[in-house]
Amino acid sequence: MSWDEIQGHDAVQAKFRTAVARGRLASTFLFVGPPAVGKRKFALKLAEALLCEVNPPADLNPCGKCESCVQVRAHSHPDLILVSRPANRTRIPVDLLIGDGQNRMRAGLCHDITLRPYRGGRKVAIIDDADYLNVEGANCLLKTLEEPPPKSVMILLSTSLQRQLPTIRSRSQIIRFDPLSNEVIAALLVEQGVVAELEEARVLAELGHGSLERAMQVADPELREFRAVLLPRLGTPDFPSVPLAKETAEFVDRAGKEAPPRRARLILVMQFAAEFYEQLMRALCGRAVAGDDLLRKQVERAVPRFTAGPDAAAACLARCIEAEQEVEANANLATLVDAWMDDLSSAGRLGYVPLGQ
Amino acid sequence: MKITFDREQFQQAFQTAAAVAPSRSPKPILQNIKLDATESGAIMMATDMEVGVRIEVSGVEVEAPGSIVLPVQRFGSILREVSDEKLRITREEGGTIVQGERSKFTLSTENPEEFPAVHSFTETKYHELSARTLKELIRRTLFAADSESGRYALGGILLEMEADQVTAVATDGRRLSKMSGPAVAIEGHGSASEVMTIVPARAMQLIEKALTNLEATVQIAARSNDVLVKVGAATIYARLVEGRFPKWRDVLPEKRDAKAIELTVGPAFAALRQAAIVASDESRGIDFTFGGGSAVLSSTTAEVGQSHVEFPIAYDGDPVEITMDHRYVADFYKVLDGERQFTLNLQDADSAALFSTDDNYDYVVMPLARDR
Repeated sequence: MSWDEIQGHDAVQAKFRTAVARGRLASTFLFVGPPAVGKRKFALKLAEALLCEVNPPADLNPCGKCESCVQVRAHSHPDLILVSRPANRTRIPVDLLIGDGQNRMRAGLCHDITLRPYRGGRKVAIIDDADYLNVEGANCLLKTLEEPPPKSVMILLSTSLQRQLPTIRSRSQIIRFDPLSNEVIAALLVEQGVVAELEEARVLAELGHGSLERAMQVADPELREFRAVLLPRLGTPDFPSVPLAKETAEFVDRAGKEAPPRRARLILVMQFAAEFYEQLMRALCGRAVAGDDLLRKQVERAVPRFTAGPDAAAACLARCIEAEQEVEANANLATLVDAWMDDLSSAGRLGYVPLGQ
Repeated sequence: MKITFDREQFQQAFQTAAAVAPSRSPKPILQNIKLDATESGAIMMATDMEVGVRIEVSGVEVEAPGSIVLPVQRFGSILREVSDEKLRITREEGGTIVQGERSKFTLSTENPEEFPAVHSFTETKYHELSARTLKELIRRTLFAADSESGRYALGGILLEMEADQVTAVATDGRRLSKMSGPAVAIEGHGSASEVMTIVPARAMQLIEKALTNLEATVQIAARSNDVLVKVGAATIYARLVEGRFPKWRDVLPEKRDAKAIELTVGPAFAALRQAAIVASDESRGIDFTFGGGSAVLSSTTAEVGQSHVEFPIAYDGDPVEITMDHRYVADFYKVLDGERQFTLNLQDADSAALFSTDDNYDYVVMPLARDR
């Protein structure tokens, strides 16, 4: 079994191969890259390679058949510690790091990694969703990161450097994961059966911006329909914000009864808007516009109408990014959509987001 | 795989193994017990990644060898509820089939290869000691281990294996407990000087519990990453803790500089308990004064009150005073019999107190400041 199933990160792989071969593998890595570009898969593959008992780690080529490889794949390997955010939590609970109340300091990642290896090789800990470490959680890790136990490798997966505490950043080797190329995403979409036709997959890949996850989300035709409604409306500064806010809220509500799918959908809508303003800003500065046909056409149409110039597009873009953070901070969705739309409408005309009365 | 087994014997082994399997785990396969059946016999394994157990099960007829994982909850219930003398297990494509005389269960099964195997005791170099000695070593040191701070190395018991003895040491930085017991090194087994054999407290607890027959002989082998203890049909595996244990020999005070006070556990403990009645969480210090044929224990807590307890002792020399945390002193009394004699070696109020018994047990307590 080779690295074939991991696409598009050959440079990172080569880096690790050299480090392991020279015996200079660091103990803490922070994998940074957009969501769903294969960071987790890469980390697991690396763990498999380091723990494989047939092929030497320096080959970085797990055999896939030995007990160790089988157990890494089943996530049951005793020297592999996996921590991820539980589905029903917004943060990684500290229990997973230092044990729950009764077993404080006697369980969890920080404890487990101080035990000597079970199978004699290395110990690999992977913290998925390191973005969701809260301050307490991140602080729990500091001691372990500062004095990593011998023969241990810790991998934190994150979407952005800014989402990690400086104390964590400074203690880890940062490995950047580039967005996947559209061709790779399109091929993966077909392979995973999300869409049947390569043509359609290419369209989704274009919208995916290098993230497979994003491409899969926009595979939902309803979303693309809404985007086709949204962009022309945003293209007019001072658009009537109340009806569009109402439509957006209704569209978001259709995502489901629970809050998480609604939030996810609203974030996507905000990202659509952000992309539009980003390209519009480029166009107003006289730069080339990138994107799919719909986006390019709508930007072209909006350029003469945005008389306030690139500042207006920049203000709108900033407001979209801010709104996205507000969604993640658990703002009330209906109120947020109203405020966001109202601000976009005024900022498009004025060139800045007016202060609230 | 196909086996027939005696239900009662099997259940006994299963319960011992089930005690190790975690009830909740991020790795669900650990909530199973693995059974390896070969022509020569059947072996049960359970682990929670830190501690593992391996039990040879008797009364199993192996028709077709193989491996299987049995869910602790469900399979345990079958063993409990079905009253047949013999049961039969078959592993098939669709799952695990458990058959009694008039009952049949099909359980979904997981891939036994995904279960982390527990190491077997194949060492030729090991230490042999009596179960009684090992149990005592663990009982008298375990309480001093510090399993709540982030200093993980102190959360275990340090084992030092010498030619004719095994020494166990535990400390939390404020007190230290050390005991040596006679043992025989087989083929020159000894803990390598560069690796410290620090066994997690939880593993030690489990080993202590497993020592039920005190007359038995226990084999213990320390390896670079783990320690294996063989007790009868069971082998207990424990991963060691990384890190360095403090140099405990430097902590033990010199006995010759100190005044030796001979005491008996029973009366000393009774006096301590009385003196501690007025102690509180904020004020745990008890002032001990020994001299002139009596011991005086006194304690003062502002909002609670005062205590003053006296009892006669053999020591007749110059008076010596010390203040100690009553809980630390009580921990020492609790692991000893009431009739046991011990020596309290005291130098002065600022030096560590050393409690010693004649069976190679030493307990050091750091004193509290007197002027509180």
